[in-house]
Amino acid sequence: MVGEKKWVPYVLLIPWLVGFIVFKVYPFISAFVMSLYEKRGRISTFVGLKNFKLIMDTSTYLGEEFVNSLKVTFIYVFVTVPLILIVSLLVAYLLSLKMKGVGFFRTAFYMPTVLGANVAVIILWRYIFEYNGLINSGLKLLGISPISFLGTAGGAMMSVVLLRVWQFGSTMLIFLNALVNVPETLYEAATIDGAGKFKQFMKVTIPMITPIILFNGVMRLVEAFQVFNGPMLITNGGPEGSTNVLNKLIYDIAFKGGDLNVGSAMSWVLFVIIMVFTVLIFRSSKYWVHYQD
Amino acid sequence: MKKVVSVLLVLITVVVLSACGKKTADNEITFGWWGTSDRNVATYRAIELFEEKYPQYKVKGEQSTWNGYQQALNNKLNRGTEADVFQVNYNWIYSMYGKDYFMDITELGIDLSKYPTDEHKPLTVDGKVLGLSVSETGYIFYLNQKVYEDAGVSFEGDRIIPETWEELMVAGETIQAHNSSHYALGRLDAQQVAILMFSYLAQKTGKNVINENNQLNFTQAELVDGFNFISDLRSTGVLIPSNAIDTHIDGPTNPNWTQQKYGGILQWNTAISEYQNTLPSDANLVMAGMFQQASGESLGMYKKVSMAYAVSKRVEGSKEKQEAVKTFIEFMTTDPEAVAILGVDRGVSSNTDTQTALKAVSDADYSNSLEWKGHEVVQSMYNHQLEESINLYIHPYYEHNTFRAIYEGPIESFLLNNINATEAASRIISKFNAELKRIMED
Repeated sequence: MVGEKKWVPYVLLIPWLVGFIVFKVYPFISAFVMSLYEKRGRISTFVGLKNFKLIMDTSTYLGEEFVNSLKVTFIYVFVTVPLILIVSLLVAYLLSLKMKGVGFFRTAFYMPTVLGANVAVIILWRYIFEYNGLINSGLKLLGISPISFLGTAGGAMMSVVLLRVWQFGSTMLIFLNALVNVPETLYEAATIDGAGKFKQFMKVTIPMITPIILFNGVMRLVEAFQVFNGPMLITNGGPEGSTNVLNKLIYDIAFKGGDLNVGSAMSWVLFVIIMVFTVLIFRSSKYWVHYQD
Repeated sequence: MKKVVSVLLVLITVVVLSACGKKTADNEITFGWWGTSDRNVATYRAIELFEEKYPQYKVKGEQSTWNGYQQALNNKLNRGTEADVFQVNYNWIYSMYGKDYFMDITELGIDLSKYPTDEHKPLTVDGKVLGLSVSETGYIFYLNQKVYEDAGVSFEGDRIIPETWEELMVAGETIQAHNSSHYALGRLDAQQVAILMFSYLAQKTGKNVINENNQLNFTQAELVDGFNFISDLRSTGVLIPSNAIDTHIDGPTNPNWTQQKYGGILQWNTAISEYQNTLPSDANLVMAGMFQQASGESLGMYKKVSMAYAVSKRVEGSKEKQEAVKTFIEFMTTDPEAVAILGVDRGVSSNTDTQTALKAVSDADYSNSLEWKGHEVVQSMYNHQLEESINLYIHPYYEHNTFRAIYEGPIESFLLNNINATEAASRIISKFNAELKRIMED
């Protein structure tokens, strides 16, 4: 009887396992295999690393686009991730203070995350940043000339970054949980030692939550490298390719253009980049992450 | 318990794998298309009628929006799950390796004699006709007459609609003087400006944008002339001065269009209803053809097959299925009742029987529609050009997804005022031929 019960967890795992194999492992491996082939009509030919060389060759349009997308993706990631960490940590800190009505604010700040980057939200975002949108209507009332947010490279990038930063709810909640778990005794000791609120935050709070900063940082980094919805629906990668992030280019090449082989090669480059950065962050963590044990 | 696990695994595998592969009975036809709700409703009504007239057959419609249709079709072709009959763009015959995936429709025995002789030439690869032309199309100017009338635009006599570029620019200046936020045309995107510029250059040079050797046909100086012409249109109130001041990416729902600040659009004659449907009831959209260098000329009209019905190569495997598909396609394209239901939403067919059937419809004046009027202008201008030994048929790779960026990218930068005419022309020239060669060999 006891022996039979050992099977139960495995049976319960089957739905997840099947999903994981079918939708994760299989596409992951088959994408790599496809990246080594060239398909013309029904005929697939093994071409080794040709697709990888093709996307790295900046003398071609494809290579130029790929390098531009890499640049755009890096800008997006290295602006978005620090911003989202800073904003969510600061808001979490404010919400961790014992204030009246804090429950309302916790819910309010989490709402954008519930809404997500869905089509309705993105359309709303466009209405905010359009040339004759909400912000420019406000500026007009103040007598300020309108700004073409979506018509300039910097403005378009800013609008897609802000969309993601606006959805800081999950990151904030994780920070909030970490902040309330910092032992009160540490703050009491710091107060006795004469540390003010800012010093307590920098010398007590931050070091105590570094494992959570690491977790949030890695999660947001991986997620940011895979951004798609915002640049696709707000700017369609424009203007002039300034928000044409790598996932959008992969989508265009693989699905709109029908070249799954080159698209797969690009996906694998993206995977390697994410892996390298994740490993680097974990390697660096021994210098700045403090575990209580 | 091991048995339970094994059974579960087998069941899950069966469920997962049953989603793959697609085989329907020989008397069942699947039909895939993209379209808006009007087209969907009309198509389903035609399918119902088909099933009434031919009770031995069943048709399953697979409707889709334009967005995502091409991606989904690419995937389906890769997996062999495409519909038996499906709507395609003419250039997909080439970019999707149609000769590997689409059946030669002449093997079905469909009568092509009612179409103009060359209608199916662009759909023919290695002697195989890979799609049945549904309609042909060309870029046509459509103007909102109310915008012009409100500004008091007038030309010779009672004529309001301009005929030449010069008259269009005069109209732009007048409209701007009347209201500085109104334009003779308004905002055109890079794709529309590209065809406008290539039409203008074709009028001046008699050349198609891509020559028989698959190379760019215009020189640097000619392209610079084209870009300078676009600048002229912007400085005279025809086009907005910079696309950065209107960042809407969807033309028909652009508030400046729906609020009648923009006086016109350059659009495929088969797709004008999208723009017509979003205008208020007091608007009056009229077909203005292609503006000319001088009055009386009739040049600069590019055309192509708008869309075609392709048949899955899978159908080759069954005579019964071929018969079913042939019956269905002939019904959809020539049956008078079906033609009356489908109207001109997919454009105007060049099939003479279809046109006769459309003209005979009593409760809808199809021949007076904007699509039909546009169709007639496209055909007459194109044929006139052929008499002048000018062939402006659109190259099958002109609209290729990645190739388009070669000319649309610099045009977009130019429209945003980020580069000048010389730089835009240089950027087009630098990669045009090499990239066209690459995608054609791919």
